[in-house]
Amino acid sequence: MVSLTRQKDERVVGLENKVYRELMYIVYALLLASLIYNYVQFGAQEAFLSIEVALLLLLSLYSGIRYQMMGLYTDKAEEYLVKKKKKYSTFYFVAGGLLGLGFSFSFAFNSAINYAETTAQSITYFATVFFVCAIIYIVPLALLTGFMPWISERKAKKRLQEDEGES
Amino acid sequence: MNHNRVKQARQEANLSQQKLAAQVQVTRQTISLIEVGKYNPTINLCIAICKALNKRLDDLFWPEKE
Repeated sequence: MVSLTRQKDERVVGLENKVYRELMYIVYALLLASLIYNYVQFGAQEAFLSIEVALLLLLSLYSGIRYQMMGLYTDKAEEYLVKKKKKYSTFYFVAGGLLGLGFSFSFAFNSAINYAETTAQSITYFATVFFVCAIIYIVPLALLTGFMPWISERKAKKRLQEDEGES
Repeated sequence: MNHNRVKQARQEANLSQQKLAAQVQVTRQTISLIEVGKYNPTINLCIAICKALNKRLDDLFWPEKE
């Protein structure tokens, strides 16, 4: 039964949602730009203990929780499986790994430039810090970002199999 | 873009875009865009328009041929 009492125009709602989405990307971009500026201007410690990092983490956490509550991860995983024949989680594992790689490079460069006195020392510091940071950041970040999509992918495969079983 | 006969049906029912919009609780612009095929309404809105114009779904809306 169609009920349209006190309902907003769907087209207007859709357009408003488009604006809100653009607004969200702008906020993320501004926070990231501010974080990079703080890093360049005041150094790593000031940058990473800033409110921008807290906001980025909070927004990402909220987004992840809402995605999970609405079942969006599973829906997107199913869409990927059906349309693109690709694994939904692969992108997120790789993205997390690349993020970890970025962090590792960043800390390694920082150590090499700010704390080394000779070229040989720079290379040593770079290699050591990069190696340690890679262990600390790459795998955990890859697992962190890819875990939810991987779980959703398994649920989506199960849903598709059940659907095929019914027909 | 899907095809529709909303405009013809609306004119047959002697309704303005504004009046039809008011009956189905959307804006006049939405009705206008539906009529020229620039906005694809959801099934709920399609059904509401059909009820307002006393037509069946396939009288007013049908997909474009592939």
